[in-house]
Formats: sequence, C-alpha cells, structure tokens
Amino acid sequence: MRKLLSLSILLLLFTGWACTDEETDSVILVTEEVLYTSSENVRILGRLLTNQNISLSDHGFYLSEDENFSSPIIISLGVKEGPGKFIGESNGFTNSKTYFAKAFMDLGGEIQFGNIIELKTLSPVINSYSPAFGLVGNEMIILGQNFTEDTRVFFGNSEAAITKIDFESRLHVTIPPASGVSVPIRVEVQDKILTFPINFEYQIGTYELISKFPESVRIYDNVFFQTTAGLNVGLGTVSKNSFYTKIQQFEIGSKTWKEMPFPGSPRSFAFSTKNYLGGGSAGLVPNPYEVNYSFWKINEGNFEQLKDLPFESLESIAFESNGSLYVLGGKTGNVFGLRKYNPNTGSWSFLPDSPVSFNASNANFVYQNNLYVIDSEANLWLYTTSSGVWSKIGVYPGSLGQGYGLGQVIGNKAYVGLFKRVSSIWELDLNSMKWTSKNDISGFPQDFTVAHFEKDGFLYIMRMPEITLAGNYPINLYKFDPNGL
Amino acid sequence: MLRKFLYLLIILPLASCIEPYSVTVEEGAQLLTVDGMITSGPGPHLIKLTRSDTYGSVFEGLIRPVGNATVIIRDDLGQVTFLSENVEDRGIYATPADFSATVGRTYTLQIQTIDGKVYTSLPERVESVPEIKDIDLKVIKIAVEGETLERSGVQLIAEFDDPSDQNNFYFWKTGESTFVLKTRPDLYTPRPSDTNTSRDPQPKDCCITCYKTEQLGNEGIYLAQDDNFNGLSTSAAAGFIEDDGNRFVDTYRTDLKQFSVSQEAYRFLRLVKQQTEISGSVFDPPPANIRGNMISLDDPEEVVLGYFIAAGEISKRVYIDGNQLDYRQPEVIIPDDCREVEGAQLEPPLDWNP
Repeated sequence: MRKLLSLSILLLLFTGWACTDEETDSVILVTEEVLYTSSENVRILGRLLTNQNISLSDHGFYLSEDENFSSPIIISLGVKEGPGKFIGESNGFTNSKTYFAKAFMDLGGEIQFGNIIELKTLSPVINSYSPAFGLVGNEMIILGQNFTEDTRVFFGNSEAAITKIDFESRLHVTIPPASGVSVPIRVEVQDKILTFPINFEYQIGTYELISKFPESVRIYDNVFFQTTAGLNVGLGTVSKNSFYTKIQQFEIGSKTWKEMPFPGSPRSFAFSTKNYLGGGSAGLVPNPYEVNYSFWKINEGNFEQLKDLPFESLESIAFESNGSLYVLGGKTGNVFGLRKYNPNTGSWSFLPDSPVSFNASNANFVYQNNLYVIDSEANLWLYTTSSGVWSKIGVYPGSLGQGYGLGQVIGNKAYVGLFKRVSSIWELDLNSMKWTSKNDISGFPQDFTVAHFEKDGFLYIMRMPEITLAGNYPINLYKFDPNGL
Repeated sequence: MLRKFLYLLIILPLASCIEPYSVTVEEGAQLLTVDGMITSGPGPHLIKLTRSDTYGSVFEGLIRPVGNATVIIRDDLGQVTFLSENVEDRGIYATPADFSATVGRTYTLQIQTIDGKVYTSLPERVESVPEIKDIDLKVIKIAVEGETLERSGVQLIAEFDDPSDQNNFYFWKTGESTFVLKTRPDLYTPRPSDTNTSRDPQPKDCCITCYKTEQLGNEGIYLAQDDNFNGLSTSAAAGFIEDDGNRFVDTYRTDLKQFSVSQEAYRFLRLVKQQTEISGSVFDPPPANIRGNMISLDDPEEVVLGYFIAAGEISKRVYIDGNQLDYRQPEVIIPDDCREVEGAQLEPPLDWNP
C-alpha cells in the first residue's frame, strides 16, 4: 500500500513537471507614431519589441495611398540588430493627400508587418513676405508653411531664384529683374498656386547719360536756372582758381549746348531762380569773401540789372512763390533772415527769421507755392508763404552726406537726395508724405550735384567729383526717369 | 616554538602585500537635456538646452548650456516658430513674445545642434484647461530635526470644476510673485571698511516699505489626474510658499498657473516628482533614468533627457494677507534701506490691487 502511495506521488510530481510551459519567444512590430508630415515629407516612428536577440536583414516602412498597399513607397532602413526604435523618413509625397503607413521587417526571408496607421500630408500656405519694396538682386524672405523642394516663386512673370528653404517654412529668394513696377508674388508648390494679396513694389528709377558740359573745366559754386529755351548752368569758379564768367545753356530737344554771355560781374555762391540771379562773392579769397550785392532779372536769354541787394547773400536759398522772390539764410549776414522781393514795387521786405539757419547746402523745393527745406539734422520744414508759418512736418530718411543735395518736384512727388558724396535719391509723395527710395546713381563716391532741373516729368542732373579728386573729369548730364525700370 | 615563529614569518609578508584597489568609473555621456514648456498663456516661452555631466563632485564636470542651436516649434499644420537664443544666458531659447500655443493644436520641438545633429520631440497636444474658481490657503508646519522652531509656509489649494468629457492631467506652478517688504533702515550699521572704519550704527532716513518681486524656486511638483474626480468640483494642493520671515509680514501676491498637460507629460512629471522626493527610506522607488519625449533623428536609441511640454494654461491671482495667517515665522529684521534688497523697489507694481 505504501509503495502504491509513493508511486502515486511520484506520478503526480512527473505530471506537474510536464505541465510547466516553456517561455515562448515573442516579437512585436509596432508602427508607433507619425512624427512629422508636411506637403512632401513624412517621418514615422516604429518600434521592435522582442525578448530575443534577433537580426533583421531589413526593416522600415511601407506607405501607400490605399490601405491595401498595392503600390507602396518603401522606406528601407536596412539591417537591424536587436529590438528598439527606428525612424523612417521619405519625401516626394503629394500635398493634402491621405496615406497609410505600416512598419515592416525582414526576418529570415519572411516579411512581417506592424499595424497600419493613417496620415495626411499638409497643404502649403503663404503668410507674409519682407521687404515689400526692394531692388533687383536683393534678398527677400517669404514666410509660410509646407514649402516643398521644388517650390517656385514668381514676381509677376519673372521667376526668382530660391537660395535657401528653412524648415519648409521660410524661403530665401533673390529679387529677379522687374517685369513691372508693382507685381504680384506667386508661389507655386506642387499643384498649388498661391498669390499674395498685396503686390511687391520694385525700387525703380533709371539714369541716362545724355550729355557732358561743353568745356573741359570743372566748375564749382556755380548757379543754375531753367528757362523756356533750356537748362542753364554757369558762373562760379574753375577749380576754385578763377571765375568762370559764362553761362552754358543746354537745349534738351537737340541735345546741344549754347554759350550765353553774362553781362554782370563774375561771382560764386550766388543765388538763382528761374527769373532772378544775385549776390554771392565778388572775390576768390575766403575768410571773409568780398560780397557781391548786384542783383539781376533774367528775361529768357537776356539779363536786366536791378537795384543792389540791401543785404549780404552768400549761399542763400532762393525761391519764387506767387510772383515774388524769397531769399532765405546764407552763410554771411543774418543766416536766419528771410527777405521778400516785390517785383511790382522793386522793393525788399524783411520777414520774421526762420526757426533754424538755412543755406544753399540744405536741399529744398517749392510745392504749391510753399517752401519745403531739409535742415542739417534731416528735419523737413514747411514754410507756408501765405501765413508765414514754419512747421516741422517730417524727417528725411536718407543720408545728408556733406549737404548740397537736390530738391525737385514732378507732379505731386518731390525728389530729394544726391547730396555731396551720396548716390541715393528719395521720392516723397506729397499727399501721403511717404518716402520711397529710388535707384542710386552711378559715379564716383566723391561726386556731388552741380545743377538740377525738371522738365516734362524727368529730372536733369549734372554731377562731377569734388575738387579733392584730382584729374580731368567731365560734368555729366543725366536724364533721370523716376518711373524707369 | 620555532615552527610557530616560522609560520608567523610566512604570514607577515602576506599581510604587507595588500594593494589598494583603484576603481575606474566609466565617464558618463554628456547627454542632451531638454527642459521646455510652451503654453496657451502669454509668451515668451522658454526652452533650455544643456548637456548633462558625470554625477559626483562639482569638480567632475559642469552642466554646459547648448548654444548656437537652431530651435523651432512646429504645429500640426506646419506653422513654424523660430526661437532665438538669449545672448546673455546661453542655451536658453525663447519664442517671440506674441507666441502662444493654441488649444487643440499639436506641437513638436525640433533642435538642430551646431554639430548638425537633429532632435525632435514626439508630438504634444495642447489640451484645454478649466478655470481656477478659487484659491484656498492653508498654513503648513514642517518639523525640522534638531530645531525647536518649525518651518512653515502657505499651501495654495486650487478649486476647479473638472470637465467630464476628457481625461485631464493637471500641473501647477506659481508665477512671478510680489510682496510688501518691511525693513529697518534706522538700525543700519555699515560693515567696517577702509573708508568707514566706524562700527557705530548709522541710521538711514529711508526707506521702510518696498515691494519685492521674485520668482519662487522649486517648492515641489504639484500634479493631479482626474481618475478620482472626473466631472466633479474639486480642490487640489497646487503650490507652497515658504515663510522666510519676510514674505508674510504684510501682503504677498502670486499668480497661480494651472496647466493641462498630456498623459505622457504627466507620467514624466510624476516620475520626476517621485525621484526628487526620495528620502532614503526602504520604501522609496529605486532611482531610475526617466525617459522623455525627445528623439535623435540620427540615432533613435540615443538617450535624450528631459521633456518638451505643450499645455493649456489658466492663471489666477491671489493676495495673501499675512495678518490672517494663524501661524507665521518670527519676522527677520533687515537693518537697511529696503531698496538695497535685490528685486525690491519703492513703488508697487502698476496692477497692485490687494
């Protein structure tokens, strides 16, 4: 009986031993998460979970537009040893489309797949661009979303070169040659065409060299004025050594120069307007200059001497308004003084002083019979002739260089710039008072403006290097088209 | 006898042969560490990047900032926000001030280090967060071993209505705080120097009362999940402000921020909380490496420490009147002009309205 009991216990033990399961090997492949999607890029995270030390001959992801993976895009990541995470990335996808993805592994020649996840590629979006105004060849940044590598950017009809794409969201482009002054910016991303609602504006303005001063001299501290017959420039000094006694007239239509004798005494630093010329220095020796008080009326090609000036004038600003001549400031006498000449009575009246001192080095222009002048700190002043009120109305955004810039008006736009050693010129919209830069003029860094005129919507500008640049340089006459491309 | 002596002679040289065993500890890898959070609250939001170093003496290594990296935050629509590095505090990258996360959007953090390695976070979704209805205050006393005087402070308890339609994970932090600082300029005694050798008191005429602004340090990690109160009005400990003998002399103001974080972020923070609260007891969880949500795209198995959190944020301001607390620390006397205290100014903040 005892033997039977022992045998039974032994059998029971054997049975229990036999019931112990062996630990099974498990391998789980998971398509875990979509890390990133854009218009053309997809990045997926997968994970291999296993308690074995397995070796995969390949692993990666299958992506397809249909859930059956009939023609899949395969991201192959190659051999993998052991468990762990893996990331697959691929581009070349189409924007705004649904795709399906699943991880795969090649285990001993057998392809096994993980779970299927769905993803959608994103749509391209444009947000903004900067600058909204610029020059051909400058860099522009376009901000947006989901730009692809084959993105194209057009300025009107001109395609821009894309130099860099940051994180599929920031395009660096080079502004292409202009096909118009104001052009729409179009961004093409795959089959999507996106256009900004506000046009880009090119910095424009062209210069054409149309003539040179007829004599091989460099004249300084001269006068210039415009008559019906042409553009007049002369007097002043020849290289500051001797007086230049003549006035040369340029006829725009024929592009020819004509010499005009001046019956008065030679002078430099004189003022001149369309109808008047006067003041300046009578000698060449400075500190102080001998003052020239003679005053002349210009009647087209003829000069009529008027009564001498009752004040000293050297580098004064002169302008005409409502038939009267105004002479402002200067570098001698009352530098704040404002004098008004009445041609009907032939008399001068002395108006209240200006709030700051002005002279011919301050760029100025007349619009609607009022004077606009930029002081030495770049403030733009308006002098209203009817009320005699001075008001500060803005700030000139450009460089003042060493002064002596031009100021001219075409329609309701004023042009200011081309100061001594400055090649830039700015346009002021006199309605909105908004400044816009125009294209620079070419030339020497030492160039300054000798004379400037306005005729039929164009500016005529004479430039040459200042006296510190030795050599023979002509005085070039440029025709500036503010709207030229 | 001779034999015993012989044995002794044999044993003695053996004893002198003991050599010190030098242990060469493997140097720890300098792991990228990400500490950053963006919320639906006002910006800028900060991402801090550092490199970890070997644990041990302070001379073992320095925790170095990771500078000159390109750091972006990208949402699930592809909108990219570039972060700029603080030039004075390297390794800290800030979003533009007008950047706020949008509830319902999913964000990823992407980092490209100067050596060209690219790291990305797993996508983090910004969940909505319920308003804080009220903030209750409770004075907490903490016994200190070997000290007769207990530490104390004010615990902030947030009351809110938990939404029933979502699984919520809460995280609280205190924001910038300001309090009325009282000092005693009449007791001012300067430290003797070459120019002023006197040890006599030199009372100052000004100033007794200032307003000190501070950013409260790490007073614990306050977390909750709504498994036990889903859809109910509830309250939870949300912060602690220690009484340092100055803070609660008069009025203390702080902004309590309530965040709604993802389940993964909550898990990460809970593990960090467990690790930081290890007290040396046998019941403590074993120290372990806490995996975050950052991945190296170049090597997915590379360990990247830290977590990028994207959260919904709501904030509520509370003024604490020190006189209404039932226990306060003895006042710490500062014998100087209150303006000399760092962060203190004479005028209250413009929005000071206790």
